Amino acid sequence: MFSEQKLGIGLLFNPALPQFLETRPESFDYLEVIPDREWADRGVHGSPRFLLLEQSLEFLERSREQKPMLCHSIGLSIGSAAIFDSGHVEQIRWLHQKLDFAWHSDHLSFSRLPQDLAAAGAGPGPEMHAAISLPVPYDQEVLQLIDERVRYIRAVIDCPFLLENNVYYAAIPEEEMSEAEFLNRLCQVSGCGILLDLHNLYVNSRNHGISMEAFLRDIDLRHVVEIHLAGGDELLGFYTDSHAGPVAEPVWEMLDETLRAAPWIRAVTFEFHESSYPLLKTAGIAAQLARARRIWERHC
Amino acid sequence: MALDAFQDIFCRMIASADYRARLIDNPEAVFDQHDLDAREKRRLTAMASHSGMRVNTAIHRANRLTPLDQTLPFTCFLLGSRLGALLDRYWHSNPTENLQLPAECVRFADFIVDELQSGRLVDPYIGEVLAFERACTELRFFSAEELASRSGTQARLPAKVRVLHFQHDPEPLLAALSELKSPPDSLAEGDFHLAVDARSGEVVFRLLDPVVAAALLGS
Repeated sequence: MFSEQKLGIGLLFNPALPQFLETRPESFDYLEVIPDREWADRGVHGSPRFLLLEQSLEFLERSREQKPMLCHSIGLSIGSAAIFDSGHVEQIRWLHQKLDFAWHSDHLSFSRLPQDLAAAGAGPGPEMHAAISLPVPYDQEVLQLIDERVRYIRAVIDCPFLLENNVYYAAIPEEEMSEAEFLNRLCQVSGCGILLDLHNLYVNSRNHGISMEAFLRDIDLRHVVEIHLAGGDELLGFYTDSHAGPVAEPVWEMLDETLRAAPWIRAVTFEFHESSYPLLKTAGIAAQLARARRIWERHC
Repeated sequence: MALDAFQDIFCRMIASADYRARLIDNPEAVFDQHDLDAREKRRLTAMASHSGMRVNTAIHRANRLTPLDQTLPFTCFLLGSRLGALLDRYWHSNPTENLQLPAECVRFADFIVDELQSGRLVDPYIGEVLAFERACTELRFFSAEELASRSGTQARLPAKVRVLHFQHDPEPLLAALSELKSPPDSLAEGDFHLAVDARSGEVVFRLLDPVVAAALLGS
């Protein structure tokens, strides 16, 4: 299902990175891009709906000539009960034809809803946006919903599709499955893979006391294709997935454990928010990538 | 299906602390308007009181501020300590929306213009700086064909060019704001016209001679 080729260590692109990419190309093996940040989406009734930002496609095409590229979208909202955005899927397919992504990923979550729920069945209308990636209940009903959507995405976009484990700040009670069980079953029935965000797992561990070790024991690591690494900070007594600065220390320990045990991992991606660039600087980013590479080379 | 109603209430609780408070005080009054099963009601009731909901709301507000800061940074700077209260009012009247950049920029700009026209917001610079940033956003996010169809009184100009009127010398005004400094006290007042040109893909601007500006605008 997935490429035999191991990509190695990569970076999630952000606007602070162009100079780093030019000056330190040896430090990363591939680039992951968030396509939703490269275009303006004027809504389902916009014509054209998607307007590529000036020069963005040129930059991506130039980058693609140098390195393999992954697509990590944030706008699909695959868990929205009342919305499924086939136009977004089509736009990813268009970009995949241009840039030939090794695979495409999004989040196991929802963020978009119709403003008027009662009118939702009448077709696309005004939406509301949570402005945060929200968890879906790990129930059979949701599993079936997302299974159908993953199948649709895989049929439209000719590359593998991964879903990322989510971060949450308010737990949903009375779920029918654990997150690990939900992901395992979703992979089995839909054919998607897992983008395992170890920082999300750490955030949930810090805030809700879940056991990272138990999660990594329960998740079927044969489905994990990519890992995300990041850091965070404190907000209102919670630890958040803000992508602030360097990778959190416990995440490094989990990376070592996961790479040792997971047989099918093809890539490890460091992500940070552009506002953290003054903290990290070129040397700091290179140091994070080098540390990830040392762990990668021990196991992969 | 109850899942869509569950997600609707979950989202509204994050966007509005008032809505969440109403659900905590009287859940059935909120639930009565929705198709929810008993488990969804128990879930939402428990989540409404969860301390993590405050974090969700804080992140929601930070993420809603981001597109405004990206498109209207000078306006946000000029608003200074007034921004918080204005955002509260804006978000209260627009609790959740499409947050894509041009739409959110235009919506907030309309809100600020209404505040200025009503006299609730008084500031010597915000009107012209807001018009400048709004024009830059439109030139950046709309195609030449779309801009041509909406050029209105500036139909003589290329689609990717705007001429904007300032009542203060725009060059030192924008120079100060670009360094996040307050406008200098000695700003010249009068009728100034600034050409904003996005034909190269980058937005550049220059001050126009009054005669040239009048010819371009056909006045």
